[in-house]
Amino acid sequence: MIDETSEQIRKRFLELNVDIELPEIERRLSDLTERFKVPIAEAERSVVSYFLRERKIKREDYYGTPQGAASSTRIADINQSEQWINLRAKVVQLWDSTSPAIDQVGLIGDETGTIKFVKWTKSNLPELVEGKSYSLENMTTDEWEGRFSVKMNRTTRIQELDEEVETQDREAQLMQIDDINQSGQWINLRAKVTQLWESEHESIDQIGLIGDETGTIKFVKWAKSELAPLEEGKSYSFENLVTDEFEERFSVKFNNGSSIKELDEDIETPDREAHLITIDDINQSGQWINLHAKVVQLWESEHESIDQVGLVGDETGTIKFVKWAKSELPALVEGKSYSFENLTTDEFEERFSVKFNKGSSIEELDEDIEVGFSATEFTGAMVHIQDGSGLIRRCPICNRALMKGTCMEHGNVDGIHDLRIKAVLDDGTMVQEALFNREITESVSGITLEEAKEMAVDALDQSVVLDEMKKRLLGRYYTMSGSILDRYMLVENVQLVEGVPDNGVDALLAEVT
Amino acid sequence: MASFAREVAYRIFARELSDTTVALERDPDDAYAPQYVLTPTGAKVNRVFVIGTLTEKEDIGTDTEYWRARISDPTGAFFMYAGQYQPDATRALTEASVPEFLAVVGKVSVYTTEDGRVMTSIRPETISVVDALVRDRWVLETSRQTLDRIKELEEGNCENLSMIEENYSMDLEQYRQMVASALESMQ
Repeated sequence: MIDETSEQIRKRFLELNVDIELPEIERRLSDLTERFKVPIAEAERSVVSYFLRERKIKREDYYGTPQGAASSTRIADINQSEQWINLRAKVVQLWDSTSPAIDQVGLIGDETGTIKFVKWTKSNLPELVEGKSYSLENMTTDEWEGRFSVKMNRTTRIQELDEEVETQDREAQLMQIDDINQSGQWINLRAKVTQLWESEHESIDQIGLIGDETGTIKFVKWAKSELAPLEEGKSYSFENLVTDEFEERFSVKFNNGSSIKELDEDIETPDREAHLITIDDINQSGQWINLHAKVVQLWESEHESIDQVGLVGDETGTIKFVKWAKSELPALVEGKSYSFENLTTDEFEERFSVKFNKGSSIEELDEDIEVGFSATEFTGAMVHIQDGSGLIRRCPICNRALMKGTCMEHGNVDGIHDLRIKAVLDDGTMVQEALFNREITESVSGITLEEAKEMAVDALDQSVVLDEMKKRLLGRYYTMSGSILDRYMLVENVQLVEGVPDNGVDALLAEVT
Repeated sequence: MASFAREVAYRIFARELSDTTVALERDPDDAYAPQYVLTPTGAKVNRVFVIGTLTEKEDIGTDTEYWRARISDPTGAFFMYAGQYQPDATRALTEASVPEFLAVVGKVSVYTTEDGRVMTSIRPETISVVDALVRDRWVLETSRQTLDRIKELEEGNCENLSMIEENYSMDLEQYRQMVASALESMQ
């Protein structure tokens, strides 16, 4: 087989006036088929590619295949990424570019729909003007989280059209919050501002919740839209908002075309009588509840708007909680049991959490609530290592991991170095997230805390530790055991699983043949 | 309700993935629904974990790095593309050499070429260099899970049975043979 294939490769190269020695071809082929167990057809392809590159020959000259061209399409028909396409479309909206690499970004539309576009600064393309229609040739499609976009690149041709491309109608309709079930719709609402949250980004002017008789919904008001500020507790008539969706939750966005008018009447928002329930009964978001629970863990807050975050537990299980800085509630202490009233439930990625707000109350209990845990074992491949892993620094007072050298609670402190890994293991049928503490991290990565510190000092960058851990751990199989807390296994034991069990191959072969 | 928990990484041999031609329609009311492909043995796949030999790599990008790579297992080859939005994978491909065992986690997509062929490719999230022992375990595990899927499908236990019957030959024996030859390559 190898002899034959080698001869063919040599012959084809000779036709292109390139003389490659037969043993050289054979050696490369057999290395791939024997040591790397690659099928012969794949090995042939690989070896040909190698010599094409080495001898600077074009792939088309060897294989003789032509290149494809972009095809003309309509926006609603875009359902794949990495396609080369042409569109005739109107620039519906231009947004603020979020990066110097992006020259222009926004929405283009045709008769069938709208789609986001990105025009790279590097591509040196002419300026697009809002409201004008263009022929856009040689763009590529892209996808992120299930949404498509088109990218304009150096080879894209932009030509303004004399005629106007019709875009889909966007006449806003008065709706009730409960009826919002689509993103990208233009709507009007009559609603009360029930909560204002801290904006997490300077591009966002205001963010929070508005509500009407049927429910509440998150809103986002861009700084750019230059609209009058909203006040908590006041009712308004809102026109020309756009609905959006993220992770199955809807929100409404204000834009340049939106209008806000204060109402004299007070819009009623849904009733919210809280009931005492147990944690395993929490199966809906947006509910008002009371809990008797113990604070099992306090995690480091990832944002200054969050005062405390962690896990609370009762006899039936544990659940994540979030306490906003704004709600000005007393601090919770790890290990203490409390009666909590007027929390709201929330859901993200099918996991529930409870949120404290201004109306919540916290009262310490004398009793000690016993929390239900369970120990388990899991074997799988490490498919991901999350941010916040590797060499980190913790606050010497409260032990939280520091963010950019700062403790959320105690400000600028002289942090203490630590190692940890937040890993995701996957066995092909199930996913398990896992927390490795310093001891487990050292043993599994073979990097001690001292070595990690030296690596960081040498590189002037502590992310080198995480990079090295990824190199050593990702793609390998491990068996780990520990207790399950919320999404995470707190790992007490972990072992590398290498090779295959004796007889494993034969036993399986017997099943097939 | 659709699940937004992390998608499981399926174990699929290259031959089965390259035979895959069906992309399931997304829920039209849910712009964030993940894209799934339906493989001939009935796996509904968004993410895969594969281990194989890097047999080709080429930077086909113009403005920025954009890598195209082939990873071969005992049954065929996986195709993958990585660019600026996959910084970890792109860096790993830049450093990787041909041939070398790579473990890859990534998302699968099905697309049609200009000449009408239906192809699958992987958009890698993480790539790491592993050794033959890890690769062996993957081949065994993928054999096991492929045989399990074949058995379930033969018993009619598959939520997308009618779609598989419509789109694939249902000659499941060929996939048993594929598993057998993969296992034999390890002896």
